[in-house]
Amino acid sequence: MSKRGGFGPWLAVVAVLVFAGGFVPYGLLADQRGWFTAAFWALFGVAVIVVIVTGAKGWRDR
Amino acid sequence: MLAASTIWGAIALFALFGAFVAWRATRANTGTAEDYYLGGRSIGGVVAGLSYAATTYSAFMLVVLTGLTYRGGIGALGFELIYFAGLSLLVIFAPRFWLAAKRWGFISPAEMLGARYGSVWVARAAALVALVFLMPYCTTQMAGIGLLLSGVTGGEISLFQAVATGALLAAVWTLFAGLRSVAWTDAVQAVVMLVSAVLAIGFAVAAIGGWGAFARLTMETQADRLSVPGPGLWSLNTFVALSLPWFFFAISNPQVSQRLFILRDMAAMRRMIFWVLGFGLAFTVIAVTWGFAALHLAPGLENTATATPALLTSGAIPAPVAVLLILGILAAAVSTLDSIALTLGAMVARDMMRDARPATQIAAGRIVVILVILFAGMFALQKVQIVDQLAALSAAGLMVTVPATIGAFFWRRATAAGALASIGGGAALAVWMSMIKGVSVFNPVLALSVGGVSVALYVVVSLVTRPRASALDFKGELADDLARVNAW
Repeated sequence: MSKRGGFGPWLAVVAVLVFAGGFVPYGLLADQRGWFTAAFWALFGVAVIVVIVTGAKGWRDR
Repeated sequence: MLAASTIWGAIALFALFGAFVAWRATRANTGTAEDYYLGGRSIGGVVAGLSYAATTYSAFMLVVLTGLTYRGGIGALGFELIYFAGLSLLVIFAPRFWLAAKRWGFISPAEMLGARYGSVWVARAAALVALVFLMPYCTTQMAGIGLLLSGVTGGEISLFQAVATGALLAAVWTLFAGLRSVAWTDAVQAVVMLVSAVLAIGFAVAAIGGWGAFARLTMETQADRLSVPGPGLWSLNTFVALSLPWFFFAISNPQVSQRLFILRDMAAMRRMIFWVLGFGLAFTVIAVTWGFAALHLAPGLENTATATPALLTSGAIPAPVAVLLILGILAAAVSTLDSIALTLGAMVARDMMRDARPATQIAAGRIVVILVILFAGMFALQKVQIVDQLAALSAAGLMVTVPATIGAFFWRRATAAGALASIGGGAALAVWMSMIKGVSVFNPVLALSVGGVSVALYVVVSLVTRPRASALDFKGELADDLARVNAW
């Protein structure tokens, strides 16, 4: 039975996303006044959903 | 303040409704341990998803996380979303947990680890770690209920009465029908949690003048809390200290990883995950927004864990909505508490009494449920002030099972000795650092040390020992099953 491909790139996207989840607010946006950090993390949450849905959508019952 | 009689009346109605749901769930029980602890592995995606969400998103959210937002600002959102990102682990491990449990009949995650490594001592160590480190998390739920009910009634409902109420609800719903009643009451409670939170935040923001005014006022008066590190709590160190253990929550906390065993099929698993994602993001944003609203409507609190009761009694939230939210938080705490108690009951029954008859295992599980809830309640009455630290200690301690869990599915060379060393050594270090040396859970040294030592022990001890003859080969034996269901 053939194995599903794409795990490596998917995992890399997750790693980059998680790293960015800390690096961007504490690095690029540190001490920035305004709603930028909140907006970034809200978008981060949506990105997490997209990544997980992408990973799980191919599952099937046979 | 809210009248105690109003709160008691609402709780009584809620309890009756929950008892009805639990009683209906009982009728489907068949008397086997698998049925009691896993609902016969036949739970659908929606109920499983709402149950998973209600178990995960506990009183921690609208009591502790709100308090952390109040105290330190937007960093609380980032921390909680790192946990949320950790749900990506489900893409890798949910199919593996489910397929392994189906093939070999596992009922608890500890049992699964024990079978993989061919050692009952690995199962017992994992069960013991869960018992020790989930207790602070149970206490958090009880403390949350206590702070909330006594806070909104100005002490008219005492801490003792509040904690006892939560304990009774959790115990009755769990004992009734095991996982079936827990899952169904969880699902109902998840709806109550979300609906009440949406209504409450709507009224809070309206009291401030609407979303535009909320955004403007926050910028004007709380600008330092809109970025990190903010006023000081959310330093990078604290962020790392809390986020690292919580990232692994989905596979380190057995009360949620056991949910992966209960699913009917892969379609249910996918649906469960999607429901958790939607619920989770919405509830997280609500809890943090609630914290900011509390800064405007209930300023100057010394104990920030009382932000929610203070906001509920500020006059901004109509009494019926406040009561509904109180029920929502009570529901969140009870759903987490009964899930933890049931999982711990399953672990003791299966991993400590594996040769007993099913009826004996169920009875033993029920006794553990009562003891866990009793102990958590007693501890909550003593330590209610440190509710946030207890939750964080729980996450850091449970991290010790992560190397053995990941390695179980990806490293054939891993051994029982390696798993035991990492679980036991990591747990001992966590206890020594936090309880004896007094290292704060907000200090990343704790989580990094515990995690690092667990990984090191796992790898090094595995390399110098041999796998046991009775160890299972998850990686090899599940490969075809994973391909069949199109999972990575």
